[in-house]
Amino acid sequence: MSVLISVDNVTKYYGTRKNPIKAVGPVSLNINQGSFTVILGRSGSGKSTLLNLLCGLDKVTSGELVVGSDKLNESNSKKLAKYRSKIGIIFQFYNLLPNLNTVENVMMGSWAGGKSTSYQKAVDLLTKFNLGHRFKADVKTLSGGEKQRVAICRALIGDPEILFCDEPTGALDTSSETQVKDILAELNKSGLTIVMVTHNPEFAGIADNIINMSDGEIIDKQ
Amino acid sequence: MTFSSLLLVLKRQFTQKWGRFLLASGGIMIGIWAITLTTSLSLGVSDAIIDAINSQPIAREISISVTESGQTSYDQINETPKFIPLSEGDLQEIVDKYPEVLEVSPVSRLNFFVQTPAADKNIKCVEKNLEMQAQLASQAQAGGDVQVSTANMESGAESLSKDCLNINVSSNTFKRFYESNRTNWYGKQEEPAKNEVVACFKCGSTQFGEALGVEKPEDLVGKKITIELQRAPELYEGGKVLDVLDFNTPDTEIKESKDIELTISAVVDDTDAGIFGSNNFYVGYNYFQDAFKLANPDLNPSNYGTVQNTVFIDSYQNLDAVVDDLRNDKFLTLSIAQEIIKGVSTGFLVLSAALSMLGFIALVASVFGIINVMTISVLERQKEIGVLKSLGARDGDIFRIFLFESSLLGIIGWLLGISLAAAIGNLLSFIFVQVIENDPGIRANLESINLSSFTPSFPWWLLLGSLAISLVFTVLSGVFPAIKASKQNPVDVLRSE
Repeated sequence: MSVLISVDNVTKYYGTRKNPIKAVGPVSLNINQGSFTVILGRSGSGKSTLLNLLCGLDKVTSGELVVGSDKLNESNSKKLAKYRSKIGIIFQFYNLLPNLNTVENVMMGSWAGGKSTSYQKAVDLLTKFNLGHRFKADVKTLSGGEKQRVAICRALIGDPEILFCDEPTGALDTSSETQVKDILAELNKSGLTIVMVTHNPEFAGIADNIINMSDGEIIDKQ
Repeated sequence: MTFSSLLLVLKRQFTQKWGRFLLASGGIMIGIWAITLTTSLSLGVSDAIIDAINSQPIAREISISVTESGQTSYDQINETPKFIPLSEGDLQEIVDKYPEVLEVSPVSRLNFFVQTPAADKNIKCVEKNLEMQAQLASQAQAGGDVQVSTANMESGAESLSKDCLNINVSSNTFKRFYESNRTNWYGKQEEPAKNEVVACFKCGSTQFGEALGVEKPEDLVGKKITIELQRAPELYEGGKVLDVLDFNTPDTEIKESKDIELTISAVVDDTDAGIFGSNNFYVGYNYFQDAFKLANPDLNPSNYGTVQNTVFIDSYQNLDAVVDDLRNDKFLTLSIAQEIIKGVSTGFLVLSAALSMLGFIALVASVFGIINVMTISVLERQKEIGVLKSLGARDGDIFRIFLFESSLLGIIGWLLGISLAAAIGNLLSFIFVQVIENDPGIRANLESINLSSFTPSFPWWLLLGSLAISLVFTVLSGVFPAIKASKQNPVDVLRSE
């Protein structure tokens, strides 16, 4: 398997120049194409910050971060936006747009990046994840599990190269958690690269790589 | 972001927050309402007045003169010009040269007396008038008691008015005279012949019909009256340059009376004459020459002419073209209609601009409201901004979302403002019609000048211009919040609750 994500001595500092606060780093790691990587760690360990850097939602302070052909450490906001349109992201609290219905939320996953997509593709995707009967529903009426499946559909509509997941089961009940876990495992089996941040050690069972973080640094790689 | 997704976000935002949109666009609505209402009313009233003016014979009338220096417009005159009188032949040449010109006539006064049925057959009104003036002059010269002089004058005037009605003759062209009075016209509708006259019925305070014992205007037609020419027109030596300090004219006082019998060929009922009504008689130009000869027996009238003359054209639509042609031929011209229309248009433009300033003040005030609402919207929708950015939306996309939103405020405010202006404008128009219908006095005066209603005017440039103004104000108001929204860090806003 070839390396898809290369992280080399990456750091991220917040605060002011006089009083910088370290969030991440320096960290180095490689993630292979088609792998399932789980980043574990306690609150404040820097795992979500690292994920934000990998997603291009935030900029590194130093170091080199390359995803595929995109050098994120040298990208401006426009290039980062383009990079984000090629990946999929799912969040702990779904982050669906409350003004749009279910299918519109899914389609926005493609539209926001400037790509057109067919309505039918969105409906088919929802049907695949057992939401075909609710494609016109107001997202406020969906359960937590349904919302997360809509978020997964939204992340997949643009045929991403990588799926980044930030605590995707953190707000779900056990049944929904299992559903999402199975979906992600299935997606990875079909070739999709997945990078997930979680507290949940159960994901370690389906992961190819497990990275443990503490105080912004990688303390263990398996 | 795709354009359709921008529109979708905007549509959903509007349908869910329409109350806020309406409130936020209130300032724009008031501003656009004030600007379009005042402008549309000004245009509507101004158009109605211009149409009314153009429907009057005055819109087909041009005053012409000739100056030594060839000035063609009163705007060019810095000092009193030297005039060259136009003879009767010169006036005929103008009629022959310009196909649009129907008639040209001198502007010159002529007065005559009409002997009443009660008058002594031997009375000579002109002589009686001269005697009375001479008596007054000698008393004043002798330093007599002013009260006695006044009493004598009043007594003389009473005696004169009992037997002799003093009549003014219109200085209009016949066509102009007919056009001005055709709705109140009885009798022949053509220029009176040599021994004919067109009479007014009431003639202002003269009460002509009553003095002749006639109750209805139409009963005057065909009656014979005897006139005495009282005052000759002011004529100047044809072709001679007149200096303003030496404006000599042959004598206008007629010293010898002459009875002329005329038949009334037509009558103008001026009982309810409006502001454009006529209180004058009309006779042919030959009587001007007769009067001139009576006052100046040794002079030939055909050698004399007039400084001021009136050209009457076929249609007001040719007015500008004929004025231009006359000016090219070095005539000093003045169209009262053109001047009034220019004044009306300018007046309403100034009025509209002044009132529109109130609208602009409302628009400026609304800017702060829109900035406020848009800033609140940005703060409320931080999570949405973060999600869209996480999905690949660029800063420019987020900027456009909020700019579209503020533009929508402008369009809503414009639509409401225009609709309100149209509704109130038409309501005012309706009230105006109701008011004049319930007041016969006002109605008669306005109908006499063909002004009985007006319609607020919303030309395309007013609609597009007000939309542009509305969009400029709202887009400018939305720029700062839109920039603020587009610069949001996605991580920060996704973290926010």
